[in-house]
Amino acid sequence: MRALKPVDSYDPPRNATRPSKLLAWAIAAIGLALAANAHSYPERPIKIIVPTNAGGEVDTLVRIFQRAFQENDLLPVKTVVVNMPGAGGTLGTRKIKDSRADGYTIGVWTPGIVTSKAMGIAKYDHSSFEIIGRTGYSDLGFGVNSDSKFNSIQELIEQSKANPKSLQVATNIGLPVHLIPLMFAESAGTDFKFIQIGGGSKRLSSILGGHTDMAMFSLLAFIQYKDAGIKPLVVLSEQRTSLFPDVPTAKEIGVDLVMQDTRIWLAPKGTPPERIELIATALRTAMELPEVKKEFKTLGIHTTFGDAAELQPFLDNMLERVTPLVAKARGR
Amino acid sequence: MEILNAFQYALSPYPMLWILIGVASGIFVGAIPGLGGGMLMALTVPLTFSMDSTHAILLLMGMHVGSVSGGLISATLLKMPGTPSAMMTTLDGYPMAQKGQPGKALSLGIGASLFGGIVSGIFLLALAPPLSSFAHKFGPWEYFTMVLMALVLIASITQGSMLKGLMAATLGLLAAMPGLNESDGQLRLTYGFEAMDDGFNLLPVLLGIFVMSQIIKDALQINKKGVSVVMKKGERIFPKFQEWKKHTVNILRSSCIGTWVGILPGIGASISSMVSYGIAKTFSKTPEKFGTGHEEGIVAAESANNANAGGALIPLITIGIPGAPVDAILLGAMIMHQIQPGPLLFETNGPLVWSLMTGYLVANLVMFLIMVFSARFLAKVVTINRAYLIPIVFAFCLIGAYGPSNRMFDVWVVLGFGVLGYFLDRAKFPLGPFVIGYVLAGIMESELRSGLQMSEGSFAPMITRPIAGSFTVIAIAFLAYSIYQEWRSRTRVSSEDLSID
Repeated sequence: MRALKPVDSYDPPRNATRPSKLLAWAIAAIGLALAANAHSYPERPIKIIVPTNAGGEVDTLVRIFQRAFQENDLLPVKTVVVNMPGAGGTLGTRKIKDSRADGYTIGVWTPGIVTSKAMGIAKYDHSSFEIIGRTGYSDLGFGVNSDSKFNSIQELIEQSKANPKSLQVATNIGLPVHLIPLMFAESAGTDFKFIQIGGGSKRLSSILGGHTDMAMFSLLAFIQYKDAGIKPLVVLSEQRTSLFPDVPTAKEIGVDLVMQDTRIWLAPKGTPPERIELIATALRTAMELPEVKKEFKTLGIHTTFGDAAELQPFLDNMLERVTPLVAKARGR
Repeated sequence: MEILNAFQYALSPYPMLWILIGVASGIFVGAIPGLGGGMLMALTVPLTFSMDSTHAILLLMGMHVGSVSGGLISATLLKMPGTPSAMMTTLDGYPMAQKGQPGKALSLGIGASLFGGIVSGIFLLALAPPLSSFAHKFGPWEYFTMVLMALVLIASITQGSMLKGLMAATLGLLAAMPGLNESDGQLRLTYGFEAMDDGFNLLPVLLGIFVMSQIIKDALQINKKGVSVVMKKGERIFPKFQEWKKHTVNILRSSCIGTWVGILPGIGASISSMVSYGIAKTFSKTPEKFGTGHEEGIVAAESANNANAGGALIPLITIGIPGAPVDAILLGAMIMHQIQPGPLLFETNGPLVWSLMTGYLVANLVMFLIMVFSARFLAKVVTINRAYLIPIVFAFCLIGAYGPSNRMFDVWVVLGFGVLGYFLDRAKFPLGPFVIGYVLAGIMESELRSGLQMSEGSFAPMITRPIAGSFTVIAIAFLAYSIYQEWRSRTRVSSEDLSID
């Protein structure tokens, strides 16, 4: 009936303006909301870029934090893990570096951030990021097959000095697992033969099968795979570890090398410091949670949070020592 | 007794429910080209945090078993492998389906999958520890010669022009070259494009060559070609027991190969089906029928890739070494549930280990039941107008390429290799050798270079190391045999030609 009224013939244009008016209001409202909340960070999910596959070691660690954040409301927003594996982690780290420095994209990586630069496969190092901090660290050591003819690191070094490049080290060329033993050899005044074996499981298999003589593992691996048949000869920590009280540190045998494996949380350069602090606080709090502590223990990680000030000199030092050695690494 | 208890556990309602959910969802994603078990499992892991740890692992394992098997559905019906490991199934499954026997093609694949799963499950239950320690005997030279042997076997897969097959394989080999070179840690052939730093990854290349090229082909023919498949009337979906008997040797052989390749870290399920397919063809009485919808081809490929899944569980459970990326996700999930696989697991968490192993067997049975009962229904897919299927598959294909690495580059790789695959196919270059060249080149190069690093550049270990030496000898023997076979069939053909004249 209404359609017959002449007045209604004006309705269509009025109707047409209505949605657009609504839209304008909506836009204004969103704009206001944005302005009002400009300082309240975070208000949308935070992306965590992980430069490995789902299920990798770094990925597992990040997901422990993701779970802790969520279950304890440590961050007001959700976190999203984005896996970007490939090219020794540089695909992922480059994405972190090139993301907007607004605190909504962060990432996690290892000291590989330094070794990639040293190897020349990335043009940037840790100084191109804001460092949020380090979520614990794990001790490292060099180990051999339990049936190996080497019973101490001194024996191994002596034989290697007598016969340079005779000792075969299983590595993944260009990554810390290659460059740290390289630094060790340099300090010990000897030369190892580095063999490209591949990822952690292949290195382990290679040592267990006696194809190569030595490889670097985390202390956790030495505990886990003790029965499978590997033993540590030297640890790279400051002091001896209570887990293997008989195993000397590198320092004790006169090799100046203290190294840990760390998980470094990075943000793009220029991310506001208060946003970094907010994430760092969440990480710090998460690491104090009993369930996280327990999980870190199974992963063999010390639950001490390290901030940027602590991490910076460690990475600087590593880059400085590794770079001149790379010419060598490239040679062989 | 522990085994019986574990079976009782795996068959009780709750664990059974999780296995069922896992297997069904696994089959579903496995059947969709682009989506795979890895993606499904990675997405599911966070959801399992609040679950009982055994239930969670059974759910994830069900997904794994389901997705490996689901791939054969689209491989058979659409010539698009749903998962990389179903690649070899396209060679015989699709032609058989096109001949009007999609139900039979499916059921052969499903049955072979079950047998493969069971054989590897038996190895898992009975021989896990000794097998995984024997796997350590494999160093770079053993890997290299084993893959070399595979390559020789696979050379016989080539159909039609040998020259075109070799050319396709060489192109595939080239596609594997760019990216970070493991052996010296340097970038190679990236031409300064940072997106190329990791080269072309397996999943996007496979999706491009097999799926995208088929999509292009189908899309171009959509109005020209109607429903061409005529279903045979009264087709029996599941072959009689007698019919399986003739495949016994093939199934056992392919399952053992699949299990063994699964145990070795870092080789992958697609290689296990390539190798068993090649061996099945070499030993077959009718090698010329392979690639035309031959039963033996489907059986070899499908029993091997399912056996591979069980094989990969062996080092995972006994030492804590993941045999494949999917197993790394399983390992990650176990760690999150505070289970550390390894030699100690048997002692600290015995019941869990047993329920895992029996759960694997039960998952295979569940997979079989679900797939066999849906085969009749699924087989009708071949009669659906492709116009309805192509857009869906196309979308999933691109999503699937993007997913694992979250990079647009991988999407471009799918499209690029799709176009390449389409033109190769038009020019009658076989696509199988292309992908085989691509897959094997990477692993052969890195293993050979590792071996040479160890031997200071000498090739002698290929002969002097016992295992490597036997592989080398077998490879040479196979090569000689296939040349002889080729020569014999040629002379036979030419004499037949003469008699016709």
